[in-house]
Amino acid sequence: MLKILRIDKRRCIGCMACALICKQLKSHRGLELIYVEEVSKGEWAPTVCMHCQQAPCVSVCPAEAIIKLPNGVVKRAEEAKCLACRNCYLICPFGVPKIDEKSKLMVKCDLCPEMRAKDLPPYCATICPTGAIRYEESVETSIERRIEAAQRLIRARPLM
Amino acid sequence: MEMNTIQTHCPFCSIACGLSIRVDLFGRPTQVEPRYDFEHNRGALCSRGILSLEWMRNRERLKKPLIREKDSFREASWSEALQKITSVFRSLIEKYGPTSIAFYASSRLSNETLYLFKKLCYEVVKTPHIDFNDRLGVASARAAYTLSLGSSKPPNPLADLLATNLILILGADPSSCHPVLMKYIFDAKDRGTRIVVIDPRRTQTARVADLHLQIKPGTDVAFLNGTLNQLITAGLIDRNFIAKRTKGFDSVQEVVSKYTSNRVAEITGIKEEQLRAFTRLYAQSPRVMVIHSRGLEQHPQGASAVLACINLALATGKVGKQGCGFIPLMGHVSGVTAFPNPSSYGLKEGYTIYEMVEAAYRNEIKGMYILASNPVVSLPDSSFVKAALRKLELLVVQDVFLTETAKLAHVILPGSTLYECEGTINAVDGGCVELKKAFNAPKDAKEDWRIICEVAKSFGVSQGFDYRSAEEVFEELKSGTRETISLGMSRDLLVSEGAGNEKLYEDRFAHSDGLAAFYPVEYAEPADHVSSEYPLLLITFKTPYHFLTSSETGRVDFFNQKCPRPYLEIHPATAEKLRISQGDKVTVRSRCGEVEAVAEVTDTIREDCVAIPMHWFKEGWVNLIVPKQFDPTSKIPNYKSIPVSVERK
Repeated sequence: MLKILRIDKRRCIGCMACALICKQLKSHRGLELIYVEEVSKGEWAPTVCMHCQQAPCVSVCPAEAIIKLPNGVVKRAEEAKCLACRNCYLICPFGVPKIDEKSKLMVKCDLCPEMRAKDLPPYCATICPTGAIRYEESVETSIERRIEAAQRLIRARPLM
Repeated sequence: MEMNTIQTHCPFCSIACGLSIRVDLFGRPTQVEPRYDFEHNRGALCSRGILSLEWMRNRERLKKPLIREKDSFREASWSEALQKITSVFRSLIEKYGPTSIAFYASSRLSNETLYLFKKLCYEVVKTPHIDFNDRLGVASARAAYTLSLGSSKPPNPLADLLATNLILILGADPSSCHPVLMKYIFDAKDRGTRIVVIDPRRTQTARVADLHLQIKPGTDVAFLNGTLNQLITAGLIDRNFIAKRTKGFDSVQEVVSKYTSNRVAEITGIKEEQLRAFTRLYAQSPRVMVIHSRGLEQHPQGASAVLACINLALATGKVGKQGCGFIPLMGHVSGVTAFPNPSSYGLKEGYTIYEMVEAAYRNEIKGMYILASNPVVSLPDSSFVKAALRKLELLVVQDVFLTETAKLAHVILPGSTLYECEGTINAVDGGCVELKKAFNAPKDAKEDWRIICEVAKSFGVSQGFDYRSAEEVFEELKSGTRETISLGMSRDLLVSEGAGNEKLYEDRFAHSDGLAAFYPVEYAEPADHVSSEYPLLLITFKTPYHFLTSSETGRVDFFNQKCPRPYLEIHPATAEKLRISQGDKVTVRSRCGEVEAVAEVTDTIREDCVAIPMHWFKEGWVNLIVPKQFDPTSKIPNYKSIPVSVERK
């Protein structure tokens, strides 16, 4: 079953643990590929590649450097092919891909192949102290979403 | 290159997250990784844990013993430093008696280190004066739990947060101080648990709450008594539980009857309908877990507030079953400081830390040995503390950095961090976890417990300080003392780490008669009032980025970028009145001094309050303006309601 990252922005407390641990992964060579922005005071938004089913970055890459793997992962641009044309960066609705200043090539989240090889969730989903980032099978996620929504309704009795 | 992975625990907050340290072929640590097998965190870590190696491998670490020469320090050998300590301490003991020497330590050290430090104090130096930084943290809670329930052991495991209907968070901000605890709170909320936060600041934790009451600082006793009064009046207490399991309820009933809704509303600054909404929610919830921390405790009525909170739970029978009880949050992982007992050495209870400082100021205490603590920054009225410590004939500081306190020392001993020594330490629910040595302390720095043994030996006492490993110390410490047994500490429990946090009080409480005791507590007007001169109440708080006096996190670039200088949270209405705008430099004055800060205008704070982080910064720290004022029961200082004035610079 396809597993996806589920980001629950309400849970994010802006501790930056995900960004700090992301940098530590060997293949990231010191780059952080997940971003946490403070939208307004106390409201945080962690942003990472959503590995879209119909990934626009894949379709606009003129060099076919970005590919979608059968397991659902949208792999970052292959170094030998990437033209650093910024098409992916311009089209992504989430502002995820970026051009690495050192290598001058596109970089983005690959969903931690090293971690998944060990059958562990990607680093950010592992480390998040509040459960704002989780790595779940998409069906599991939707069941949980329905239960949560129902619970919110049940709990929505007025307090005063 | 990587060779080894050592499994140990995070040295910061009391969740004691399991983590492992990767070490290369040369024994140098390369990376911190989370552990999935420890129940409290299961793979999660916060930024402080992830970056813990950065400060441990910092260039500023103390690497050699230092001896003061006039205004500077020179490097010395261990034998010279130890020689100096013992010769001066000996002459002080000869001239003024052993009570002229005092010991003070952080409790964020292993059980073994703390045990040996106390043993050194009682057995070798023979002075009763020893205290720990618990005094600034869990002292109120400990005093109240011992009085009421008979033991200060935290009664519930963290997992109880997921089996309750209401989580009441009193003066605590886990999102800043215990981020991993937030997962429990969010998960509970997703399961339908209601969250109530009582805090004068709308913290990140308060944003999660179904009900957030922005109470006036220091009025918790009135609030809790008022709630109990409403419950009694409405007949919503558990008479059966009160009769069978407790004693002394009548006196409490009499006292709380004076706390009518309108009086409580007036004292606490919370609207009557909000008070009623809380009472209704409390009564409707069959199971309630209370999380409380420094916001409830660091007041002149600290212990009373915790007692009021226990009274409420006892009267409604919400103690001693799954999902019902308390999680008193310790600020940091902590060794047990309760034993050995001074009475077993024929000594009386000694001074508390502030009494020591005052005794040093009047030249009664001549020598002090401070272990891994930074009282100059952490105690109220820092200038007075500094002046007092300057009067000492010998100040020994054993630490990992040249802290503000170490700068005043005559001899500095380079100690170790919790990744550099073996031992055991306790987490938030009282469970004992094992610390493993991941790598060596830099150069000549040594493990803290070994240094203490060497100090004892250099006093000529080798018997009783001749341990080959920390495990031997643990065996000695757990044998015999009643406290260790009641704390459920045994080496076997370490096999299943975090065990030992069984639910207490299901059938009986820890008093000899098995009953819990009600203690009536009255709200007292603070002695230190707001006035026209000092019209605002100052609260000190921890930010999500720094830790305690920030001697460690203050040396990590990431945290310094996030929180570089002291800032003052001030409400927009108050700021407008004082003509202060965002980013202005302001001077905050109290009756004992002034400190500078940058204004952070925010509506997350009450209009009549302002708040400054408690950490150390180059520009100054807030305890310079926190006056001396203590809770009479627990001697915890008041850090949370200080009358101040604010002025634009």
